[in-house]
Amino acid sequence: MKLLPDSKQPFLSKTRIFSIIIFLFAILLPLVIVDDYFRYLLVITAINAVLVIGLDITLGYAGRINLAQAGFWGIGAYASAVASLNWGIPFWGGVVFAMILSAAMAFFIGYPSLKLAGHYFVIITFVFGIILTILFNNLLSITRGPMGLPGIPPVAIGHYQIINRVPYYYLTLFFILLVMIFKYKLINSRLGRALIAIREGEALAESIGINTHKYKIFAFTISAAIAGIAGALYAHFLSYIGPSSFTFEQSMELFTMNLIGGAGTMAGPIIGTALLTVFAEVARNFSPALARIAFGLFLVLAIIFTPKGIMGLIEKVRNR
Amino acid sequence: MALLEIKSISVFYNKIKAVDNLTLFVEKGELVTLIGANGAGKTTVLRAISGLIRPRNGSIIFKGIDITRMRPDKIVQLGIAHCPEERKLFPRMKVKENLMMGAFLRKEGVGKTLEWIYSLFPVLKERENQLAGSLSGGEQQMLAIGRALMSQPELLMFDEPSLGLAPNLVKKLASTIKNLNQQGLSVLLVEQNVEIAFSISNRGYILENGKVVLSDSVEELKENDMVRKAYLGG
Ligand SMILES: Nc1ncnc2c1ncn2[C@@H]1O[C@H](COP(=O)(O)OP(=O)(O)OP(=O)(O)O)[C@@H](O)[C@H]1O
Ligand SMILES: [Mg+2]
Repeated sequence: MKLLPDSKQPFLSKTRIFSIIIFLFAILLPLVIVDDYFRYLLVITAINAVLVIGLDITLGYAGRINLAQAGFWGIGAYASAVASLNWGIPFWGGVVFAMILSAAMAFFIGYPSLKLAGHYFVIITFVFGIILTILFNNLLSITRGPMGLPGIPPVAIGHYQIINRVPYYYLTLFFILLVMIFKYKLINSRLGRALIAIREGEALAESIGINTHKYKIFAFTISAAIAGIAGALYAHFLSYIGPSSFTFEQSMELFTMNLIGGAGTMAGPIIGTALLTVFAEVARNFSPALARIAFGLFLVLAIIFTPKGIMGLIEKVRNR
Repeated sequence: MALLEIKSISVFYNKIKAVDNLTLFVEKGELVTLIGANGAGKTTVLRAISGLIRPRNGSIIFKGIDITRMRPDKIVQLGIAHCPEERKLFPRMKVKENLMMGAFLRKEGVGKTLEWIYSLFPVLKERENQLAGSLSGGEQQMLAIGRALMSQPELLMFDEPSLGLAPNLVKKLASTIKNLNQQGLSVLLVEQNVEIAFSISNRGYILENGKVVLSDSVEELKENDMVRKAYLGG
């Protein structure tokens, strides 16, 4: 098992080749998937991947369970929707605004709650997520409550408007790439080492001179900022957002995706998201209640059998 | 002025008073031991010095700077390292990674310190790519000391380093600590193995129920009736 990343890697290491293949595969995917609904699903999966990659920084690296990721996603979605609807700010400005707002909220919540023991943080993020859902439903002047916000304009690059699903998928893929590169750099930085140390032994990390509070806030804030990106992507993709998307259940699903794919790994969030988003969609069409139960079951299985999820299994097989 | 000066601190866990009006000092270059039975408050004193728990009153001065309410990372930066009693390593990290973690706050000269630590403990060099959790008890203790030294401390605090080690290893460990001390490192050593602690220390404090009941040079303490009865087995 490898906890800290190697500082020196050959230019074409196995991991790098693997990543490039996965990415090429992702690029070619919409050429194979021609069904319009599945292309829609593809975009949703990609947006979920952004969310889970972000979540993993808190869950997989700082080792803190964060049940508010869907809430931050909602903040981002509403922020960019309001920015474009009310102030005429284009998507690119909206993304930045979404990130800032989500990050600011995370800082505000994280600063006091990350001083407390881990289980308090879980509860506080849980409660905060629920409060956000209530706010999305009731801040009528901003969110229009359950009616939601329709008519969010599409993303434009110059004069070209991204209306079709395939180009939107590529736009989202571009953001996945950015977020992955950012995360990779982050994990390999001092901040990344501090987070891993916190996950591996917080009291010890504190006693060797790591300001654990500060680094946990960093991680949580970064997770939320990335959720903000996903929020903007989501709002401009559907052109309509409503409070029913950004629920506690969604946070739980993201959490499960992260665990199943492998927390604290680069590829895990993508694998977990791809598998479970497709599964959830199929199962929901079949029976929504059953889908919930299945998710719960996956979560339990992931916790019991594979502490590092599917990526852990792959590693095990590779090391055999 | 002493390197470390603790002026009548009291430390509480909620309502429980773990350290009661304790005064203690360590001069530069000294090896001072803190002795006491289980629950006497030894670990709490070290945690208070490291900033991991705040004293309710009193003050802790290091190099003339009041560190009583300072953050732990600032205290490490000032030059105090702490070899804790339990969970002293990151078991799932490699030996070298553990050592590098000890230098987290440093920017320069880390490689040199690492070489020095490998020369002190060649076995750590041999096992640098092994997981810390797979080391033997003695090796783990060396790694914990090495990790603490990586921050280039002026004062190194040990919390019962001999715990769980075979007698021959305890002797080896003691001579290592003495050796470091003779190279100029000031040491505050918490021990229950009184004999071994006295064999290398200059001065000692006896702690009972959070209070210092006796403090003197080791030579005097060895002659003290109470100490002989309670801690040296007669
Ligand atoms: N986290 C805590 N919460 C409440 N009480 C504590 C805590 N840690 C220690 N205590 C109490 O404080 C007192 C001093 O504990 P401390 O750990 O400092 O003793 P010690 O001298 O290090 O003992 P030992 O030799 O067993 O390590 C004890 O009565 C202990 O029960
Ligand atoms: Mg103790």
